[in-house]
Amino acid sequence: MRYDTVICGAGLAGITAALVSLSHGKSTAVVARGESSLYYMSGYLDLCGNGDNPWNAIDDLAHANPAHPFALSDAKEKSEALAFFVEQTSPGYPYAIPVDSRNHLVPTCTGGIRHTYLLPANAGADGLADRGRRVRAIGFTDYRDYSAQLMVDRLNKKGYSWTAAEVESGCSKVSQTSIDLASYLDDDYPALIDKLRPVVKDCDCLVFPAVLGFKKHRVIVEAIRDAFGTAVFEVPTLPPSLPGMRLSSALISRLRGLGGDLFWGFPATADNSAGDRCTGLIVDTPGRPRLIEGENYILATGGIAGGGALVERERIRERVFGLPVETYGTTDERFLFGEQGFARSGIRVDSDMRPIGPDGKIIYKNLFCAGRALAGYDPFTEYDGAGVAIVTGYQAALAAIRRWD
Amino acid sequence: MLPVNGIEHCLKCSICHAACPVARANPNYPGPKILGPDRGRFMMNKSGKTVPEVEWCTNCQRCEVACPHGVETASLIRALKQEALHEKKHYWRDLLMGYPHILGQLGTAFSPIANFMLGSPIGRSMTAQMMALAPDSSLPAYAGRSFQSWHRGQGHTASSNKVVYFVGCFANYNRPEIGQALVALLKLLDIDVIVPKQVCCGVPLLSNGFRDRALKLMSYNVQNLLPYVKQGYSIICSCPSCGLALKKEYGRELGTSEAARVGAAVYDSSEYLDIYGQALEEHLSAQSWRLTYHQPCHSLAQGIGTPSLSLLRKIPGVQVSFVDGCCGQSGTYGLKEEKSGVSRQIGRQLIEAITDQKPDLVATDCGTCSLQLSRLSDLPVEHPLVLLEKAARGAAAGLGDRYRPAV
Repeated sequence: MRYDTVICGAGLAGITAALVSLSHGKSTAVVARGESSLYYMSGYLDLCGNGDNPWNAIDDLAHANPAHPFALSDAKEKSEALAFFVEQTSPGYPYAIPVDSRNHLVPTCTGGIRHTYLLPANAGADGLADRGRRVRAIGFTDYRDYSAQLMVDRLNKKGYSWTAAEVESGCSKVSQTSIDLASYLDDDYPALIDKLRPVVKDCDCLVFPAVLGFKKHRVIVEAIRDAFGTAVFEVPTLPPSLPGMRLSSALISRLRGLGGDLFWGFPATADNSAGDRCTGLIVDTPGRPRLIEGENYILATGGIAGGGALVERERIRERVFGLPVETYGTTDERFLFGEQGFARSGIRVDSDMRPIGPDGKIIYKNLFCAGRALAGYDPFTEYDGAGVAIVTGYQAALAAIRRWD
Repeated sequence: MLPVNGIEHCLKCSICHAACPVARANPNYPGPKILGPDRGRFMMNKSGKTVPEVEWCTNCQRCEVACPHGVETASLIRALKQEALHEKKHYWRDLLMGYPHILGQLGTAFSPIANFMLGSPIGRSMTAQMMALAPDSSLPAYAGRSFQSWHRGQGHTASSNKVVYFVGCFANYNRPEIGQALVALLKLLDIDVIVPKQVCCGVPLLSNGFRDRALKLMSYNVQNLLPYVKQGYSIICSCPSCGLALKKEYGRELGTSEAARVGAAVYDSSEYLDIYGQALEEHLSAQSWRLTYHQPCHSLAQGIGTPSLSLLRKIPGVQVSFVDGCCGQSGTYGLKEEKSGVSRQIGRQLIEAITDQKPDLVATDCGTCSLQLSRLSDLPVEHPLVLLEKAARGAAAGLGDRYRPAV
């Protein structure tokens, strides 16, 4: 089987690219080494900046830094990409575009406040908008990774008047993680509702750590909402992250549903035997390596945390194709929370998302690149990680399709 | 043995824990992160303490597949099982069930008696008592004649294209129809099938901690398969667990170049047929089945994608949907009295996903998955090979035979 599009990486960028390719009727395979970094991301998908208006932040960044991945698309393309992405999430774990295209204000589990753009339906998009809202934050006595009281104390210093309460989850596991709790609630959520009865009072909104089920999330949220007549939303926890897992699982079901093939669990390297064209991915599967061939290839293996880039003593190496990595800064940055050189390191691409060398020449005619593997941006200070992944994943797939047509 | 299998790459991100079906179903199971890399670090220090909870691991290997950093959690856990071997509560039961080829020879030779013991209410309750099995477990019936015995009676075609078939105990002793379907499909492609001497692949022993005994079966199979591999033949497995073992576990556990060489020649049956997908497609007649395909964990762990799904989609008129998840049966795990509840609990979500699709029929490659799916969903379950062969035969004849327990 020779695919129209072969994508390496199953994170936000890779799956977005795969879904674009499939929705254009192209046969598509995704090769992934394992679960993506969505598993430890919050499920809040930032577009750009930690302020009210992400679109201004994008303009500022692209203006100040023409090498920024956002400089490769205009606002219309970005909006199309986000709309496409949101549409793909709707059958499994629906996200929504903010009505006024402004960032939402959301709480963190330690009582911080931050801005973000795309939110899952049950993440309380309006949770912080009204300071007078009577919000009750529920924690679990037997879940040590989250303290409702800590979150409420810190939020209340910022002018809110939330209250906190704790109940026992009922899950008998000692030292439970978010996954253990979510799996327990998937089966036994009615017991939780009974436990909540005494503590739910004087409130019109209930806030939980993001453990309200994995497979049955929607059912659980609706059951709590119906039982108490309040709004219900979740705050992301420490990893593993249920919102991230639900998103990943929804996107992958979508991919399967559209007929995409998934080669899961093993690392790939490129077969570069034909000069300026990539001819296949060699996947290191049990027994013998497996060759996955396609017309076009999209690299979306992520950065250092996602496993796409390997930091060695003298350099940063791109693992699959051995592409040249544009490297910024050194490792002896003085300020831990300032801008880090490594964050902006990555693959440089042309306007068609094709990787280019230091000389500006295209490396493979049929290779495109998207997401955290790209050079020129720092999601940790710019709050644009998810935005870049979705927009460039969309662009890379369209560029590959254009080339194919 | 001091397994270090990628421990240093573990970030403690808990992705393996999230992927573990047992950790979700059993609150007493610490999960792959704790038993694998965390515990593995202690093993390097030879703390000498064994972990009894380790026997809850089903060896589905979903943790290893999910790990984005290549940590070999499942093999770390198997090493712990080996250490805890002599603390097993049901040592003899687990040992006996580790030899399905011997049970299978007896079972097919004396199939009326065996099937009475496995299928009738009295016989089943006696077997369950004696073997510490769950009273409601559905035990596979034995065929009156093994696949190997049937195949010996078949003539060979004149074709110079030949493959070697590693039958596996389920297809050999319980459902010879699976092997017969493979032979028929390969015949359409003008490929002749050789069935060399073979014993159980060793997975049941290995998954239950009897590593040393498993190695003996593995060596025997390598010895018998190697001459064919040296002549350039491919080896086909219709059972995903046999396939994964031959491809991966043989090389790793035996550590010989012969085992690696055999492993490199192994194909899952659908992986192999998919290569001839176009040629096969011409033989397939239209069917009106509404199928749900369940990919067994050990097929997923081979990294072959979903070739059974693409083959089934080639049958004209057939609707195939895909469900993701572990059924919880894991070979003999779901039959055992103390584990049956957890096994059922694991399978429940998958069964819900399947019944949501409202299929006429479920397709899965693994024999013991089919036992569990049929028991819990009450739907007919078939091996994709059997369905493909039916479509090729032009048999408009209804759905697959309902997979039934004995009698």
